[in-house]
Amino acid sequence: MEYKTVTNGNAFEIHIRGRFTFSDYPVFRELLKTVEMGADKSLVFDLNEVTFVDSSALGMLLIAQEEAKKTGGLIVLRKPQGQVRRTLEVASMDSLFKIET
Amino acid sequence: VVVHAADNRDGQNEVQRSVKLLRVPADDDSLAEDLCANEVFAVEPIEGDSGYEALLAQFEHAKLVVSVSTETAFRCSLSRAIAVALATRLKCAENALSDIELATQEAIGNAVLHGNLALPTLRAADQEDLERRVREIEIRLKNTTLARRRVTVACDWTESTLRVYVCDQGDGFQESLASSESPPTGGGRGLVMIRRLATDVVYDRSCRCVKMTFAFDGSSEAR
Repeated sequence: MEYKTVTNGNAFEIHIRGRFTFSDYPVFRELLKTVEMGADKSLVFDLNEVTFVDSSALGMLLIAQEEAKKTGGLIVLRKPQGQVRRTLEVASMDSLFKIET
Repeated sequence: VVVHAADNRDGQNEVQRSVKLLRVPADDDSLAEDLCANEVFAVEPIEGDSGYEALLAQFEHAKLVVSVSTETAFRCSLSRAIAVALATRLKCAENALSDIELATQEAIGNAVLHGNLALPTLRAADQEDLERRVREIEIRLKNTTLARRRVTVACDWTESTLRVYVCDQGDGFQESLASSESPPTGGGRGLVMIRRLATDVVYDRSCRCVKMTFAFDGSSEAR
């Protein structure tokens, strides 16, 4: 996967591209180190250009959510597309995140 | 490359199998290209491993068999390459193939992380757990014994059914994990997802090999 980060007001946006799978544990660790979290901040994962996710990727997003909760922050999954939406449903995890379509 | 393999204990009925040796180090593009070469057997040559003939004999009736190192299976999109290869050989709707790719990805992830690299399931994780997980992955991938273990994916199909086998060379996992519905926030989601995506799932006695069956007629929808 590839990613870029953008700070947009109180939102810290992470735009991810490509496949996001168990191979990306090392990349995601580095990504989380760049994240600015805080009580009034939202962490937005823009998934519009993500073509494929697996359960490990969803697990990594849950880790980000746990970290955001520790500081009273909020996590948002923005624009998950076909296969990503399907995986969220199959994993019964679509209700665990705030999803922006 | 032609491999001579014995089919039984007496060494009788020796058969010849044409094997496509994958380019190394593989990347996503070379893997997809090599698997579309229409060979049945596609094998990554691994230093110090001369015993893949027995592995291939196990799947002599399969129509596509891919065997790669753990390092390659971790680094490359093996499930994508297999899905692309299946798309060229099967008449299968795109959404059904997408579910097959996802289930295969989950099985490969289990084979790599929990099978060959012997990592425990990550449960209720936070950032510190993620740090530990990445460190453990890096350490174990540097261990040549673990990194050279094979992940083998075999596919066999009829006009309406596909069977995908994913096998590793780890110590096997607890069979009870395979049959329990794990909580959505905990680890072990991959096994739950595989059961939802496939019409039938069977683990061998050692729990090193999972057989997933998919129907093409829409019955692979989540249950």
